[in-house]
Amino acid sequence: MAGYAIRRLLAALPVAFCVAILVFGLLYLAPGDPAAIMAGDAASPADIEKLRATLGLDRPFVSRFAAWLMAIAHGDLGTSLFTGLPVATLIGQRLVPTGCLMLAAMTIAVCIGVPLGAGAAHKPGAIADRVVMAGGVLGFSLPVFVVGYLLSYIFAYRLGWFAVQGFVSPRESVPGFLRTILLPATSLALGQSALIARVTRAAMLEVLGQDYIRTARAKGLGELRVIAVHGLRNAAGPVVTVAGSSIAALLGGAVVTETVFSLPGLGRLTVDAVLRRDYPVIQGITLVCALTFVIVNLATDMVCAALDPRVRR
Amino acid sequence: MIAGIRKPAAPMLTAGLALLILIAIIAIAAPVLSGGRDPALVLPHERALAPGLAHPFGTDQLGRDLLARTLYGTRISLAVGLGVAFAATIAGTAIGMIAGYARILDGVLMRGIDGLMAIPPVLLAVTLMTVMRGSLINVIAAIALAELPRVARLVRASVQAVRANLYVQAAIVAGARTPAILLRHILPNIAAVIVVQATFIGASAILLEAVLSFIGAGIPPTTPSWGNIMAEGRSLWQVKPHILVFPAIFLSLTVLGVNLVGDGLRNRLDPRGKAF
Repeated sequence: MAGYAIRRLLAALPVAFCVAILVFGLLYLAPGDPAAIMAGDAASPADIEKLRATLGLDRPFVSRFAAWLMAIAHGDLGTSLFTGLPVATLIGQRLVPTGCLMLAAMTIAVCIGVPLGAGAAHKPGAIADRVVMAGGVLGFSLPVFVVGYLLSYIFAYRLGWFAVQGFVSPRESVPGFLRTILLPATSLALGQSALIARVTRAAMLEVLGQDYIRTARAKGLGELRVIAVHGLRNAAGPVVTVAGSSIAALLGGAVVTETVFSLPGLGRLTVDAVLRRDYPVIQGITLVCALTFVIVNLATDMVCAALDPRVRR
Repeated sequence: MIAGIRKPAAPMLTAGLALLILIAIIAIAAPVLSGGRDPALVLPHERALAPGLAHPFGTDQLGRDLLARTLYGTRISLAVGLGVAFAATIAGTAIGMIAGYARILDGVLMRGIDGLMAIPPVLLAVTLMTVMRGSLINVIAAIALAELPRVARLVRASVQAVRANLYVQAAIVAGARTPAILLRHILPNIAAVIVVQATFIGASAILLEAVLSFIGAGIPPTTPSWGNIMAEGRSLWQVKPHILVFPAIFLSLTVLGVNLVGDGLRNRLDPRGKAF
């Protein structure tokens, strides 16, 4: 297991490096001169040139990339062009709402998706199966903001069960937290739960045809036990993998959900940065999200290996 | 599909196709169907009107006719869906085939693809759009780059599965050149999988365009798209929900149509229904 973990970690490093090159390259191409923007309107060309040299903007690509990597290694993601605050600080302030949103959405997606998928696979072709499959297509066809506004209009604005907008940290008040997080998390989770349901169904169909399932039934185990213990445990690999990789869709969806529900998270920060063309902030968020994705994928691999020793080879 | 063998009826596929044909007709006939209303015409005295006789879908907060804007918005969504499906599929197939066939290039290409894939598509497209002008072609390019890794990975895996087949080995032994092997022997055998994937890419591209326009990183509101209509109605959504409702319905139905077609095609390729 340790050998496998080290191999996966070593394989993730070049990916992380590629991510860094891509993120740096994208913003290297950004139009406009950061030095001119930072110096302000009153600056003379000589001032801008001086600032440019101080910032190292006059150096070649490779040298700037190396400097940028070194700064990141020290936790310095640059400075926001708009607020003048360090990007790392701005991102740090927004991590809690987005982290809570991710966790809640993932939990909801798995809790809806896995039972539905397993239930559908139990009798393939039956009405329940068709409903789940068709509902799945509908689920990942509905745009996150359409679901978000619909849920918000009905359950928050009309019925008043949930908060229309804002965020309350779980440390302040748990009921307040639930009132603010459940609707955005549900609207974010719906599409992913459809995907998870379909993957669970496919994996379960494969597993339920195996001999050990027949054995389990033959020795008189209850159907629920057969499905939940012998079936799901063996079908877990693909399900864990798709749940892990859905973090990319969730992080992207957070941009929309946080806008719809005015959650002060990373997604909201992204939208504000886009509107102000605050490139260092966008760069920092993109890098943090991509590295999160790489780490979550690594964790997913570990979980899969723990579940199924054959993966470790 | 082999002629002469009757495939079982696929109601979902038919429904999806019907929906898409309807949407395509709306896109083409938008000027006629909107009764000659100008989607860009601002009527300052008719702001945020609820749906009525003069404006069947109502007007937005600037007093523009929402029927015309929603119907014309169909064009943007379809253009983005088709454009991205083609661009991402062609580029992704080329990369995937090279990576899957030429082992020397595999490592380098796939690390790049993995890196690209690690960036959530929404964020990648948003980042690209902040450094580019908000034009239709740039939106298509940005989304295509974000969708391309999925195609490349699928094609690479399919090529690796097919290249072990005897007929490919036979072609190599017979002295066929690499481009001929790739295009004549391998591509036709993985084409069906690619077509299904292209459909899903199209659906996902339409959603992504709406997201980009919704957060202000897409096509500017002078050209109506469902995302930017909804973006402009955002501040009024509690009091004037009609501004959001119509583009939301059109967007959801279009994406549903494309996904139903993709799903139907996949079921035909995989009649045992084991694929997810």
